[in-house]
Parts: sequence; C-alpha cells; structure tokens
Amino acid sequence: TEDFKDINTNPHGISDESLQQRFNNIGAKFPPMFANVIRVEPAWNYQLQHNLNADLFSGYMTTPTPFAGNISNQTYSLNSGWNQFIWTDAYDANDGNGVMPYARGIDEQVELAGDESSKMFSYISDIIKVTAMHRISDVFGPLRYSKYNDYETTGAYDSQEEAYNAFFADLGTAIDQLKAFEGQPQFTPFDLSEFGGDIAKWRTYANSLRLRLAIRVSNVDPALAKTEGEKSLSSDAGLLESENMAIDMQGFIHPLATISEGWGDIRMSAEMESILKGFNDARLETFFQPALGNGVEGEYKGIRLGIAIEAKSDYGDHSKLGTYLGGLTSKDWMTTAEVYFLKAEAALRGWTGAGDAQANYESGIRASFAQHGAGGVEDYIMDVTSTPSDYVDAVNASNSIAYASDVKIAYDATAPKEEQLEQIITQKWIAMFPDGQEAWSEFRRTGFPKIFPVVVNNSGGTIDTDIQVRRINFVDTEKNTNAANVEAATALLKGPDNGGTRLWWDTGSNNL
Amino acid sequence: QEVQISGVVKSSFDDVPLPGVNIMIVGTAQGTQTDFDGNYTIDANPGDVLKFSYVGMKAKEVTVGANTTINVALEEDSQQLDAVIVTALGIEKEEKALTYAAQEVSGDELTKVKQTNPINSLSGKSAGVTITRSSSGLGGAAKVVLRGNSSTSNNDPLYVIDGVPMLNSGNGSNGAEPGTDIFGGQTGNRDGGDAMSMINPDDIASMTVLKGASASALYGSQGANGVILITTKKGKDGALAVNFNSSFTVDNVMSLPELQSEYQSNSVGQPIAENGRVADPKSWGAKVNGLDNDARDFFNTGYTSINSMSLTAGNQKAQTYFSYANTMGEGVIPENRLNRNNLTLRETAKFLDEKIDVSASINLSDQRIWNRPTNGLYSNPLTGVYLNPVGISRDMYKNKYEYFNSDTNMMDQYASSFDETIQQNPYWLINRNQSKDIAQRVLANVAVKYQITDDFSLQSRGSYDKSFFTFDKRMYAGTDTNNSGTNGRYIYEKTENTQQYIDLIANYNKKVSEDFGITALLGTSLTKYKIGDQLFIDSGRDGVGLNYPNIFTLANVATTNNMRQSVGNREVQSVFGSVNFDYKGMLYLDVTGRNDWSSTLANTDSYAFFYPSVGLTGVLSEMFTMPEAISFAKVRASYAEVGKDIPVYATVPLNQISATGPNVGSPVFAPIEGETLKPERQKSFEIGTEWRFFQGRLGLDFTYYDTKTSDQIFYIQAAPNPYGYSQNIVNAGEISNKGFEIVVNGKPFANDKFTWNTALNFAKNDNEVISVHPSLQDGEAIITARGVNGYEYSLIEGENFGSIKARSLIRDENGTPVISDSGTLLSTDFETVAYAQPDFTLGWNNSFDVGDFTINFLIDGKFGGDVVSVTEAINDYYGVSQATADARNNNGGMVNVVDENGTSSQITAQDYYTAVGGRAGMLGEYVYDATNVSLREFSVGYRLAFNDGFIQRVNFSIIANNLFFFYKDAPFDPNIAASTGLGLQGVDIYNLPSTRSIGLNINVNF
Repeated sequence: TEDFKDINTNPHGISDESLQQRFNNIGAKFPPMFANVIRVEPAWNYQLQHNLNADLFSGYMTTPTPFAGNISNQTYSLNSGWNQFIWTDAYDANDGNGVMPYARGIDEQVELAGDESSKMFSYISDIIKVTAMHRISDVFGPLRYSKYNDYETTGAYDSQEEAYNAFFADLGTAIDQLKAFEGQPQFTPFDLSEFGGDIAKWRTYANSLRLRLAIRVSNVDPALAKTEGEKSLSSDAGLLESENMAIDMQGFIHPLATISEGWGDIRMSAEMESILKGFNDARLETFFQPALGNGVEGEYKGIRLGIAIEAKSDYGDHSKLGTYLGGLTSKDWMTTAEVYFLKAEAALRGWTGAGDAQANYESGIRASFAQHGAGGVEDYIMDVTSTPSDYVDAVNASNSIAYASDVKIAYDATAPKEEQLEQIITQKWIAMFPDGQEAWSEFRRTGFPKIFPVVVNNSGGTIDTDIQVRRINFVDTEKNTNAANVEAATALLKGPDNGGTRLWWDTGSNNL
Repeated sequence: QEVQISGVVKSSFDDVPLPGVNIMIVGTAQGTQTDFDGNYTIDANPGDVLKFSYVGMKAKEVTVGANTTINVALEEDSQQLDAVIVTALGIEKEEKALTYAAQEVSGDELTKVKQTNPINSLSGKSAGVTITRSSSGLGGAAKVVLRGNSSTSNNDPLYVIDGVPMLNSGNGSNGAEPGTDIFGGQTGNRDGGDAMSMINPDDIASMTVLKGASASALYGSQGANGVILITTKKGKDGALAVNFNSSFTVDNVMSLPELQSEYQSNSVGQPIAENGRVADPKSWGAKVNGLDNDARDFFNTGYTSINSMSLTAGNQKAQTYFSYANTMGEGVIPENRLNRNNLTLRETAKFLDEKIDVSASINLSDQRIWNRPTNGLYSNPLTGVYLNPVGISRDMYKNKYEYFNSDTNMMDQYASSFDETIQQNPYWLINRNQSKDIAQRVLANVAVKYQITDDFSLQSRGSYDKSFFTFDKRMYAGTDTNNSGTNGRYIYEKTENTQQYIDLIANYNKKVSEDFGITALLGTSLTKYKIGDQLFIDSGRDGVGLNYPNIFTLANVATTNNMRQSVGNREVQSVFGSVNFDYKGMLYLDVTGRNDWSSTLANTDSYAFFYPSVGLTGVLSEMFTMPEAISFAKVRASYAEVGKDIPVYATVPLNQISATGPNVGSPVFAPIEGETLKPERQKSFEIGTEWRFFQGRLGLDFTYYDTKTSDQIFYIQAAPNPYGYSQNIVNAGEISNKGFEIVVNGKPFANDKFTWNTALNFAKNDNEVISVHPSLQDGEAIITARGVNGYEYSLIEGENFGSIKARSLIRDENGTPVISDSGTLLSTDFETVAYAQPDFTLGWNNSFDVGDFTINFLIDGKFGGDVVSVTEAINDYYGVSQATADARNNNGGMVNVVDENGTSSQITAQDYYTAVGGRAGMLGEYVYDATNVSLREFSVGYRLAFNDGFIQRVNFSIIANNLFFFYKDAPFDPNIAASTGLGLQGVDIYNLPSTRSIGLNINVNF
C-alpha cells in the first residue's frame, strides 16, 4: 500500500509545486481571470453571462427566440438557471470559471514568494478583479469582495457602497504602487491584453477604470465621486486616449457572432433601430445586417424587447448583428471613446481637469467612428436636425411605439445640463456597443437613452414595467449554500431581493 | 470378452426417455451418453459396473450380466442433493446449503432467442433483475439493476467470468458513464456498449445471479450491486463434437410516435429557399385532405445474423473447447451496421494423477459499429424525421440532403429547418455525420488448482483483460454550427481499459465426524485497474473547427484547444476467507469476511475496509418428517455488509490544464476542508425459504430482503470557500431497498408425448431515499439539473429513488387548466411528477415439448413506475403529433380553460400546445404509466435426430423477440432507456424506437 498515494494521483493533473516553474504558480492564474470578465467561450456561457440579460436590458439587442414559452428574462420573468452564470463565472474555479478564487491564489502565492518584486502580480490581479467585480456588483448589488480571501469570512457580503470603496482603494493602491514597476518584464508572458505586459499602460487603464467608477457613483455620493474622479483626471498614469483596453480572445470567435449567426438567438433591438436610423448613423451598417425576411427584407430592422413571440420564425429574419464581430480577435474591456464620454460628463459636473464637455463629447464620437471604420463623422457631429425615429413593428403593429425624446447629435452646450447629459450618454451608449453590461448600468444611473418598456411583463409584479428592471436577484447556489449571508446581504438592499429594487448608486434621478 | 450392451434410459416418474444421460464403466475412463430417445450402446465386460448419472436424478449402478440389453429407470432426486450451483469466487456449492438467494439460468435458456447483447436474454428469467435496453440499437449497452437502485454513483452489477471479475467499468465501458445530457451533448449521447455485449452468447454454459449482499460479500467492494456469474463452456471428455448454430432475424421498428396527417404546415405553398429552408418549420396550418406523413419510411428493416461454431474434443486428461462466432447486422436506422467476431479457445487438463487441474482460456473479440444511433436532441436524425413540416415532401429532403452552395464552392446541407438547432435533415446526419465505433477485447485467464490432500487444495487464478476502443466521428461542413465548426468537425478518441487480476485461494474441506463437516477457504487477491486511458482530440464546434473543409485528419484540426488525456488508475488488495459448517446435512452456517485495501482511499483515515457476512440455513425436510407431497423444504437467513470504493483521485485534488484553453483550472471538487472520505456501505438482511413438492414437480422459492446503503458518495454544492470549489465530495445519505422475490417452477404435465415446464419470477422492490446530505436544500440531491429544459432528475428525501421533476398545468377542481389575466396558461413550479422504477416485475417462462417440437414463450411484465416523453412534448409543440390534430378537430379547435376568477374561457389548441409542449414545456403533462406486459420471446423448435449419421442432431427453430405488448400505456416502449447511465432514467428523448425481431435459428451437431 506504500504506492497507493501515487496510484491515486491523477498523472494528467498539475500540483502547485510543479507550477512554480517559470512562475506559473502565479502566472497560470491570470488566464481564467482574463477569460471571465467577459467570457467568450463557450458561447452559451456568454449568452447567459451577458447576453440574455444585460444585452437585452440595455436596449442593445433582443432575442427572437421565445425562450421557456416566452416566460423568461426577456419578459422579466428572471430566469435563475441562466442568471446563475453571471455569478459562477466569477466565483467558481472550474469549467474555465473563476476570477475571485484565482485572485486569491495569486495573493497567496505572492505572499509565499515573499519578495517585493512579486507584488506587481497582486496589483495587476487587483485591477482585473475590480474590472470583473464592479460588473458583478452592478448586476446584484451586494457581493462577496473585501472579506473573500479569508476562509472564515469568505461567505460574507459587502454592501455595494463598501464594495465600491474597496474598488477605489484597490485601484488607487495599484496605480500608485505599479509606478515603481514600470518597464519591468515579468508580467509580459501572462498578459493576455494588447498591452503586452506594459505596466505603464496597465496604470493608464486602472486610472481610466477609476474614472468610470467615479462617474458611476456621482449621483449617490457626489463627494466621493469628485474625489476619486479628480484623482484620475490629475494622475500621472494618464487616461486611455489612444488605445482601447482589449483582451485577446485566444483564437475563439466572438460569442455574439455564434449566438446571432449560428443559433439565431439574438437580433438588433428596436432602440438601436430608432436611434441609429434616426441619426443616419454610419455605424448601423457595421453593427447590424439587413433583415432577411419577415416582410422587411433589406431593411435594418430591430425587435422590441418583451413582446409576445410564439415562434422564432416570427421575428427570426430581422437584422442580425454585424459580421464584423466574427472577425474580431479581441474583446474590449474599455474603449477610448468611453473615456472621452466619461470626461465629458466629468466636465459637465465641474470636476477639475476634465476639460470641455463638448470637445470631449466630439472626441468620443470621433474615436468610436474611427474604431469601426465609419465615415462622415464631421457631418454627423454637426447634425442639428436628426432625432431618433419612432419604432414600427412590421409583424404586429400593436408593438409600435414612439421614441420618447428628441435628442439630437450636435452638442448643445446651452441646453439644460440634463439634456446635455442625455446627449453624452446616448452617444456613449452607441459607442460602447456591444458591451451591454456597461450600457445597462449607465441607463439605470442616468435614464438614458430612452429604452422602450416591455409589452409583456411576466415578473409577477416585482418589476414595474415603466421603471424597468433594476437588478437581478441573488443566485440560487448562494441561497442554497450561504443562506445566512444572503439574508444579511438582502438587508443591505433598498428593497426586496428581486429585479425591481434599485442598487445603491441607482438614485432614480440625476443630481445635476 | 467385451460385449455390446444397449438399452433405453427413462425417468421412473413419468417414463420419459432421458437424453444425455452419462454412462460410465466404473473404474475406467470409458463412457458414453444416451441419445435423444434415451438409447445408448456401450462395450463392456461382464462383471463391469455401469454407472448411469443425470442431473436431477439419483445415479444408479448396474452390474453387467448375461443380458446385453440393460434398460434403466432413473428416479428423480427429489431432494436435489446433487444440485450444485456456482457461487462467489467460482466456488461450487450444494444449492441446499446456500444461505441466500441465487438463481441460475442455463445457457440453453439464454440462447433460445438470441440477442446481440446476451444480458438482454436474462430479462424475465430471473426474479429481481431489471434490464433496460439502451436506445442505441445494435450492440448497445443494457442497464442491469439487481434488487433496485441503491447507490447515487453506480448501480451496475459485477460480472464474473469463470471466477474472475470482469471489467465492465462504467456502463459506457470506455471508461465513462454514457452521456446524460438532454441535448445529447453536441454529438449525441453516446453509448459505448458494455463488456457483456462483447461476449459470444453461445460460449455461456450458465449464468448465476447473486442478488443480495450476502451472496456477493466475498467480492467486497465490487459486489455491492450484486454479481452475475458467468460460467463458460469447456471441452468435454469424449469424441470430437462439433456444433454449428446459425440464426437470422429481421428487425422492424414498433411503437413509433403517432404523427398527424390532417393539418399542413404554413410553409406549404410558400417558396423554399436555396438551402431548403421552409417558411415555417411547424405544422399549425390549414386542414387539408390527402396529406401523407409517415415517419416509418425513414426506417429500414434491419437484420441480425449470428453464426457460431463450436468444437470440443478431449480425453480424460485434457480437453479443448474452441468457438468462433460472427455477428452481422444492420440497424433500423439507415447506415447503422454492426460486425462482430468472437474467438474463444479454452484448454483444460489434469496432471499428476489428476491432482492438478489447469485451465487456460483466451477470448478475442472485435466489434465494429458504424453510425451507432445516439439519443438526445442534437445530432439525432429522429428529431428531423418526426418534426418534418406536414405537407412538405419528405422525399425531397431524402433525395437531396445537400446542394451546391456557390458562395462556398462546396456542398452544403439542404434542410427544411434548423429550428431551435435541434433538427437538421436526417439524411444529412446519417450520411454526412458518420461515426465508427471499434471495440476490441482480449481476455486471457489461467487457473491452476492443486489438490494437495483429499481435504486440502490450493488454487490460483490470473486474468488479463484489455479492451481498446476507437471512436471516430466526421461531421461535414454544413452541419448545424451549434454542433460543428464551419469547416466541419472531427472527433477522434482512443481509449484503453486494462484490468490485471491474480488470486490465491486455499480450500479446506473435511468431514470431521459422521454428523459434522467443515469447508473453509482463505484467499488473497490483487487487482490493478487502468480505466479510461484515453486520448481525445476534437476539432470543436466553435470557429472553423478544421483548417480545410471536410478533410478528417488530425493535422487538419484548427486549434489544439480540444485535446486531452485522461486515465483512472486504481489498485485493490484483498484478503478474504469463509467457513461453512454442515451439521448432518440439515443445518448450515456460513461465515465470510473480506478486507480490501484500495488506493482510492489515500489521504483518508484508512486504506482498509472490512466486509463480513453470516448466513444460516436449515433444511426442514431433513429435520422433520414431512408429508409425502413435500419433497424438500428449507429456510435461510443471512446478513451482510458490503461497500463500494470511492472515485479515483477524489482525495488528491489537483489543478488541471483546461481542455478548451490554455488555462490551468482548479479541481472541480474536493472533500470539505477538514473532512475525509470513506467507502459507501451497504447493510443487507435477507430471509428466504425454498419448497419442492410432488417429487420436485413444483418448486417455490421466496426471499425477503432489506438493504440499507449509507455513506453514499454525493457531490454537493460547496459552501462559500475562497478556493472556488463549486462542489464538495462527501459521504452522506441513506437509501433503503426492501422487497421480496418469488420464484415458482413447475412441471404440470410430463409424459413422453407432452411436457410443460413453467417458471414464474416475481419481484417487488420498494426503495426510498431516507436521507441525502444535510447541507442540500430541501433534502434534494439533483442528479440531472433542469438547465434550460423541462426535465430534472433528483434524489429527494422521503421519496422513491429517482424523482422526475417537471412543471405541470395548474388546474381547477374540475381539472380544467387555469390561465392568467394575460391569457397564458399557468404552470406549477418544478415538482415531482414521476418515478422511473417499477413497483414489481413479473416474468413467466414456458416451454412445451410435444414430440419433437418445443414451443417456448416468455411473457415479461413491469408494473408501476412512470416514463416521461420529451419526444411527445416537442412533437406537440411543432403540431406534428396526432394529439394536436385531435385537439384541432374537437371543440372547434379550442381548449377549455378557466381564468383565475373561475370564468370559463377558451384558448386555441396551438396556444395550448405551444405552452405545454416543447423541450422546456410542462413535461408533467407528458407522464405515462410505464406498466407494460409483452410477449418478449417466442420460439418454436423442431429437432431431428440421426442415429448413425455423420450429423447427429439438427434443431430448427422459428424465433421471435418483442412480438407485441399485451398492455402498454406509454406511446413508446418504456423498456428502452434514453441512457444506461444514472441521469436520464424514465425519459424518452427521441429514443430509437424498439424493434420486433422475427427469424430462424438452425443448430447442427456433428
């Protein structure tokens, strides 16, 4: 029986000890973290992580498929079996999942190594961790973050306010401490972003991310927002103004291409049709393809979310997503366009160092047109007449609806601040396509752009049709295994644990 | 001076001539056998003693005198004293001394109506054995459960060939349990076949089913689910004998789902796209006369042809048995073919004044199956076959399953729909998604037995069991991209399973005094397993898959992301012993013990686990004077504890390189921090009684058992932990099985014109999940999660093993469905709607001998239990089922409903079935009683005997299998399992329909 332990050891497994070669005990924990912020593979995982929730609720896309007899996320009957993946992608460590466990593993290995130089890995890990976890928090609200690494307290939730403070702290430390590591190559083999291990660029990204989070909390805690935002605007780390933060997809095809082309499960939304067509926006032809049937052949035609659909064929031939997705080799975590729009809003809020709102707004539009190779940007910026068009449902006229705003493209610096904000957020919304998670968060924070309410509301009264879905309830695995902490987390919400309760930063009005 | 003696041997009881009676001249090796009419001739000297012996009869000795004709009448041995039965470790025991239930089925019984998987022939022939055939047709595995499911991990019995445990790892046998995915994975749930399906049925001399733990306790951890012992044929002492057997059966599908041909699809009359797509894949259009919608055209008439030949020769010192069998067949699904060759050579010999017995055998088998049918929704041609839009020509898609796509300059799939990605053109799937399964097996056994003294012997056995599996699947570009890359997909898998076994056993057998005897054994064994040693390469479904379209070679695989190797290594060392005490042939005490040390228990408290058993038998008919009608009576009781090993590597969680990316992933599961694992434990108690009446013409055997299995292996959701384990592996829970078995054997008529043998096997089993792990919510362990579908399979405390959960309609007190304000049908949450296990099973086997004719039939019944049909639900959703046509024909095509205030209302049949049907629909509305009674086997044989010819005997028989159902509620054959794994019980997901086989068998003895 002496060799029983050897026999019972999987010869195809790897121990942490053997991973120490080439620092893989630390480095091998980065790929899952990179993979799970926005999961590209398998495509159905992305479908459940972002697509059949945030991508729908953000007004970007609509599914023509009547999933579960049309009683599911698309009609506000929040499907726990699906939404589970948003959480497990971050917290599990198997099936390719995992952000938090690997971040903990990196901290642990760095501590074991004990040398100062390894700490660089922890700081970068923290940047990725904040990128992933603020998105999780923006879905559920409270989450397990600051107390995660200790086995005793790992199940405990932070309120969203505590979590955001922790995010700012982690980002601040990373931005400050990484300065000393600029130019060092140790991270290069593990960097799956297009930064190629350039620590200076990671600082720039972290600083830009801090600005995103500062803007996110600007209504609920203007002082915190201003403090953190102005740190970003004045930091020597700089902001992403020339290069997107993008992650290599490791040879995988963008999942939206598979979901749209292969499965036919996602199509253009009614809002995209109203806004892009109304604006004569050249990006329309990149983002989407003309419809193939359903009586609208050749047109760019979107579908309104939450309507009665009996069969996929009812709307299945409406506009697919653009073929450019199939050619992408990387996925964006943050674009330069977004940074300009963040600065535009910072300027509107009067933060020091933000520059001019209109100039930033126009730079954001130019950056987005350039990113998608769309022409005519200067004329577009000057367009003072185009407004979003009303939506006409080609199959069922009762779903037709007027667009609730006359927002225009050309920036009107003389308009009330609320209207300026609508212009900024509407253009940011277009520019951030297809990152529905960010678009949904910004819609909830600002109410822009105007997203059509659902027609069929199967939430059983928990989600108001006009106020729309504000969050997703805590997941079943947590309720099953961590019930006491979930209960405590529910008390940190502003209301019951359902899709109708607003998050901490979601104040219901813009404090401008 | 030698003279020729001849005569007839008959039964004294009914005067029927006895064929095959052994006649030996005592003290010599000379002997012969009676022919079919009981005649014999033998050369003997006056004064020689002839010994006539025959199974079930008292042997009789006659001294040769002046008379050259010696007719003998043998008396039935009413007490069956000589009847021996093979028990654990190959030990032969007197049947009357057994302290537990064991049931032997002879090889003849099994091969009367031959099956490609011989284990299927056991159905209905032994009480307490539930056999569910897989839906994968030719060469498919079978799910065999003895006395009910007792474990959360694996319920397969152990198969033992000639005393040596056989490798039958996982029911899928290539190292993994068969798929249990409702979608059928991306390539269909595969059934790799099982080890039993590779055995030549003609090599089997008998099978003994050891059902209880007491019977199998000597097998320790392997025997927890019962044991099926297979004794193979060996060479006989005597002249060369050759047997040739040929059977040919034709197979036709039965129990197809009922499809409608009244309402056409809205696609009819609409343009059909270049790629074949129709406007509306469903069939909810207008009522039209003269439609044709017969799915039967898709199926072929299959055939199975089994030709086997065996040869035995030998003398008293050495005997040879050789057999060869070829099985060829074509399935009912086009392109599905099987070819199997089996070769067996067995040598037995005696040395040193017959003190040493040596036996060696080698079995080789090679099986090739082309396009083995799969189940599940993806990659299954049957979805397309059944869902074909009514009114759209099936022939059009049959004649043209591909078209030239000028955009890609190659052929592309021509299909009516890829709706829900669950349907493609079935002819594309069978022609352009072909697969090949190769299974090759070598099984070599050596056994040596040395009789050192009359009382003491030593024996040793060794075996080397190795199987090679190759799976090759080629999906052409044009296959639905949910399942294949845009340039096609290639999956190549090679698996080896190896088992090495060696044992050493000392036997001691002593009649201590006139009244008291003792039999004891002490043994040790070592078994090494290397299961699922696999190399797996898959070009994948995401992206291009292959660099160049439709070139299926490894160099063409576009990414290396889907490659992996795996293996399960395990070693078990054992020491075991047993002692039997025999008092006056009327009281027997049997004590056994076994200790296993298993490598899987590394990092736990102990490597060792111990299994005891004790049993007591009293032969009442020896103890007391019984009325004349009672010829034998005994009672028995036994108690045993057995167990089951834990999964390999469970206690040594390691990081893994992801098979689908460059990631290193943490282990999927680990024991709870601070806890350890131990083997599953089963405690079982059984009592039984056996009675024979009227000189053995009527036999009755009754057994009651009570089994509790505890410390089950569960994978539970992990509590929050910073390592990110999503699951913990734990010991927990208890499952109880209680039941009784009744076997009745009778020979109501017996004379030289007409004999009727009948056997009834009845078994009732109640099982209950007593507890699962305390941390599981609501006392429920989910085996197959619902995911995005309408079926869930769980173990729930207080319920039967295996609760099928689904949603159902909410109905008012009159049973009318309720709708909401917005007009949608209301449904319950997921609730238990069905249990897969039958309440009781009944097999009734009959054989009639009328002159030279023999008629056999077997009626097989399962009562209770439920099945759920995803097939019907989806057929309804698409409007192709007869049920939807009936609903449209009745009540003006409306379904009566009430709203929540109780006001009557109506919805259209289409709205109704769209809500209720479909894969995510309310499957609670698709539950059917699994009760069924069928004429499982029927054969009529005629035998021709030639007294002096080169050919000695010819048997012809007409054989039929699955002829018809006397009773059946489900719209399909509930005896077919979607998967032989644990997770898809009691559900039909476009399963291959069962087949009715009729054919001819010829057996020639030379």
